[in-house]
Amino acid sequence: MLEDEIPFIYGLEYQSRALCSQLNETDIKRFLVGTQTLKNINQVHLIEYDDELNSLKKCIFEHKNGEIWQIGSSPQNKLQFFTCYNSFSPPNTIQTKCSIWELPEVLDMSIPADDSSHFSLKHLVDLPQQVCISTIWEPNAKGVVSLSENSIYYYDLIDSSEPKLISSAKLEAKGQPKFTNCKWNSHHNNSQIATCNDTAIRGWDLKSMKQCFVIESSHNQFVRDIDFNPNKQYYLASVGDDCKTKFWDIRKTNESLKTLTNHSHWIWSVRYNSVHDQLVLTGSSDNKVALSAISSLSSEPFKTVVNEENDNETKLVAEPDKLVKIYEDHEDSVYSVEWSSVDPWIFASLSYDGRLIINKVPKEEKFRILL
Amino acid sequence: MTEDIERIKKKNLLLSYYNQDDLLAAGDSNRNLPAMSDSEVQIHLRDPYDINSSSFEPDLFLKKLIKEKTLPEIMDFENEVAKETRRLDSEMQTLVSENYNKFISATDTIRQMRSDFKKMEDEMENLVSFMSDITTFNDKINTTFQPKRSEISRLSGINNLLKKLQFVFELPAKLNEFVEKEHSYAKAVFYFTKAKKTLDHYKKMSTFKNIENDCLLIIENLKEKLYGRIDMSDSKPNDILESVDLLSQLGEPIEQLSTKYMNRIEKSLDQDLNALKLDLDLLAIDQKNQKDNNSGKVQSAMDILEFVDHGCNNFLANLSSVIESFTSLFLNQKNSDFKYTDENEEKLNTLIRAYWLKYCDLVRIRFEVEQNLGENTIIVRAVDRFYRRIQTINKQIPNIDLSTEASSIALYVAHLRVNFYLEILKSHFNESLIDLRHQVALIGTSNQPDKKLLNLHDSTFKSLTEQIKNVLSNLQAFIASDISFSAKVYFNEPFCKTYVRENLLVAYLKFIAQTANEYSNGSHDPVPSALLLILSRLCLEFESVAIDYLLTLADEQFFINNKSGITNKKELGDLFRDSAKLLINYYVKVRGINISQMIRKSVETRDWLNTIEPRNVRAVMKRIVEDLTSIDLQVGELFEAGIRKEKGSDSSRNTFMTRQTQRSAAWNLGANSGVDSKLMSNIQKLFAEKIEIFSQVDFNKMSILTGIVKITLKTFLECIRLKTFSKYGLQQIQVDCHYLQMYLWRFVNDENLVFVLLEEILNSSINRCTDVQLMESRVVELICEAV
Repeated sequence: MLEDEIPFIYGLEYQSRALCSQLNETDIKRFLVGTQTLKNINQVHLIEYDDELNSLKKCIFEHKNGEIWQIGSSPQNKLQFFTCYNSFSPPNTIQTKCSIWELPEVLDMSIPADDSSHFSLKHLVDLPQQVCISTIWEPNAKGVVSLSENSIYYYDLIDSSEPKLISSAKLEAKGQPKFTNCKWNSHHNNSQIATCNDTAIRGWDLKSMKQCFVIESSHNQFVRDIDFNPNKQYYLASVGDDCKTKFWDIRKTNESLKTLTNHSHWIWSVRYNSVHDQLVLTGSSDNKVALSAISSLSSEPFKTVVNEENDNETKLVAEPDKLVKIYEDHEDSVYSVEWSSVDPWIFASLSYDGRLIINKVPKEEKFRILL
Repeated sequence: MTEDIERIKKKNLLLSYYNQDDLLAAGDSNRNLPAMSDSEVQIHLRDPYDINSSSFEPDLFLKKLIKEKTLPEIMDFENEVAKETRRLDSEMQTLVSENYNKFISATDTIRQMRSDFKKMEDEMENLVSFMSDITTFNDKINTTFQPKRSEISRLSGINNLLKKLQFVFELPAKLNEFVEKEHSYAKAVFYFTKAKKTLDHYKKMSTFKNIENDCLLIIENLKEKLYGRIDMSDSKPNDILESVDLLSQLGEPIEQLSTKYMNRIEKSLDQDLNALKLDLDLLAIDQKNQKDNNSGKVQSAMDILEFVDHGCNNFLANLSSVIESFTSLFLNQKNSDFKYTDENEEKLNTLIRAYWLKYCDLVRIRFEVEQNLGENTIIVRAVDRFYRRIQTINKQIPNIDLSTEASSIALYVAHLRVNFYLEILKSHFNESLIDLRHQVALIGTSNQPDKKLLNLHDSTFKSLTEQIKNVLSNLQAFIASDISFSAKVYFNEPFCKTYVRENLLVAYLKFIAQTANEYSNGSHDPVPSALLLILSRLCLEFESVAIDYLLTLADEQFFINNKSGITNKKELGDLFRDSAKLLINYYVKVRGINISQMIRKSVETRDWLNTIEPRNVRAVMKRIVEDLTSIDLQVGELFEAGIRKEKGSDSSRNTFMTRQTQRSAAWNLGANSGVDSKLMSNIQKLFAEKIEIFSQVDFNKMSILTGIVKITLKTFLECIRLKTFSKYGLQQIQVDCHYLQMYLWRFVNDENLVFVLLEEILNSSINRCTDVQLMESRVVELICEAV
């Protein structure tokens, strides 16, 4: 095995589902992980990965409010992030909330891995809604969108201590649908988000707060996650309980463009690589992470090939779509996968047993894309 | 010594002549000693005491006698010798007398013969003198008649000449009469050609000149008439033939005649073709009419047999008569120029070729029309008839091979037919699928399985194979022994191997597998799951039995011996096996997902934090067990049970219970130390095998059910991980898990698998519980058994 293909494994004490890559950071590859435990104080791990030394530094913060279901780093301020969490108050009430946090300016990342001294986070503000299923940062402005079970709330966070509700919308459909997930579409001036409920994917225009597209039955069963192609507008990937990864053009919602079946159980997470958008990561409860290269639907479908025989004449060759690799290092369901925001060849995956694995795109594939 | 032997032999011969008994005695001595060599004979010969021997020495013998024998013996011997001597003496006398008589009679005969010959000589001399007399008389008669005979021959010559002259003088009138009144042109031409030479010879005499001119005028007239007859459209072919023949006798240029004749032929052939074309048009109109309104209109177009007959009787007959007459007219004439012969032959060939191709096109179109209707045997008969006719015509023209087109048409028709049957088979398959679907839906409602799926499967399988067999036996008509083209290599091999085996049978089998595949990738609308099961079983059945049987049947029925380049059984078998596998996996997935859906809904909709103490197993669990039982029945009808990993069922259940109790104790002790629990579950996982959830299943009940159970339990696990439980919520899960454990083990081939998954479910719910307090296992058992 090549050296760079040895995965880096980091174990968390508790079960965990929430993972994100620290945004607005240019040098250091950092990931944030949130734990899920009902009996102990939950933690947010800030993990710094050095791929040259293949070593890792960490910083653990206490998250006393409850078990973390989602974590998201602010694209504007690298120190800020939100968590969606369940806060349990005895005897038997659980509230799902969303809070914005700030990391300390100066981080002491030199703590050895076996030290368990914890730091505190600076709590900035709670989103003022009753239930919070999922939250997303606005890519280029100080705003967030947050979902309750059947409503969308759009907040302005210019004043980070006081979120202002700009607009909201309510999902009205048969059978009391519940939102499960949402994603921001970084095209169209960031005026569009997409939400998932049951098997449907819906697009919403934030200015009018109206539904702008819908894929009614995107998957045979639950749709778990979606992601917009960061470089090619209108393109969307979705994953669900039918073990399939589907690619869509949101202008033609009646039929998917392509379907992959790389997993043998529900797929929980799908991520486009932000630079080379043919690379698509999926994480599934069959304990596997799949890396596919879907060039035909990417922003770089052709590869320039220099014909050496014929006076360096260049021609475009369509790259075939393929499954690059299946990573089988996890031993429990993988609920989230994330590309590093700094190095497009590095990604992290997190399984329920608290195992965080940092992997690299195989060199062969990397060179194939680059050269 | 050899002389001695010779002599002995001679003596024996003499003896045999005179006395047989003696010979016997001598022979006896020889016969008794067949192996006696010459030396012994010599001894015998040299014996001086042998009285019969030549070397007999009387003195020695006497001495020996006196020496050895007693007196009475000698006396006896003397008597005996005397007796013998006397006997020999008398014998000699009789011999001499007999031979003397014979000699005397021979002398008499010779004397008689001499006198007879003398008489004969005299008579011969008489005969010679008579003959010379006859010759002289004959000569005399001949010389007397000589002058009269020459006179007679001169007179008869004059007579002939006069007759000829009369014929010549009468010729114009006669010709006129033949041409104008009797229309017997042949006679006219015959007389004219006869007279022509004479006329030519005596051209210089004015009388003859006039006669010739008259004749020529008439003949010109005749020629005109003959040409007219050729051009006339309604004249009979025989007349035309006669006209052309006569014209050529009249010395018309052959080239011009052949061109003219050719044109005429073309016209008549065109007519025939047009008739056929008209019929085709009629047929098209008929079909259109039938489509438009199903009124039983009188069918005016010919059916295929009539069409072929018509074509054969008119067009082909014409064609063959044309070939015949043309050959006799222009090609076989010895006096005609070789150059012209070649040219004409060339012309004829191109003409025939062109019309032949036109005709072939028509026939082809006709058969195309026929391909989708009509009886198989009729089509085969039509092709056969067509082919036979072509063979006969083909023999008449050595230079053109019409049979290529004929056989290509035969092949083409066979090809169309095979395609037609393939379509029939395909639609039959689709129909039986639809039928199957209806039946399955009916069974689904009746809810009483009762081996109905198996019956359905069997009947479908039977009808599919029967249909194939029918088609094959229908197609056998093409290679029946009485069909003229069936045995031809260029027909037989492509037909049997490529058309029947590959294009029909193999293509159909592939189509079935393909259709089955389509069902398995969910591209069809939701299908009843039982249909998937039956289809999968069907594919298996094909793989194990039918493919081999059908291909062997085809090979036998169509005598396919050369197996190169044909799809083999294994390839097809693999295809079907893959389809069966896809179908069964899809079945597992569909059923698993159905149950999963149920579980997901039940877990999601419940408020696990605010639930009361469990008193009962949740209804959805019972429903799952019921569903699995019905699936078990359904699958059990079509697939064999499969092997269970041997393990005492009771003990395993007990293990689960004890493990559960142990753990609950452990949990109660160290409820706070999450690390420990994590460690425990991790260690457990290390030892547990990895479980592939949506994995491939085998073709048996256990494996299929295991697949469904795995999907069900994994869903349960994932759903629980999304929820938070109170004490009672956890206990409810505990009850549910125990209930499932009680019932699910019987469905799967490895109980441990159920155990591991249920353990993980319980573990996860313990992790997701705010107040871990497990129920006492006794109570759990009580609740579960109360169900």
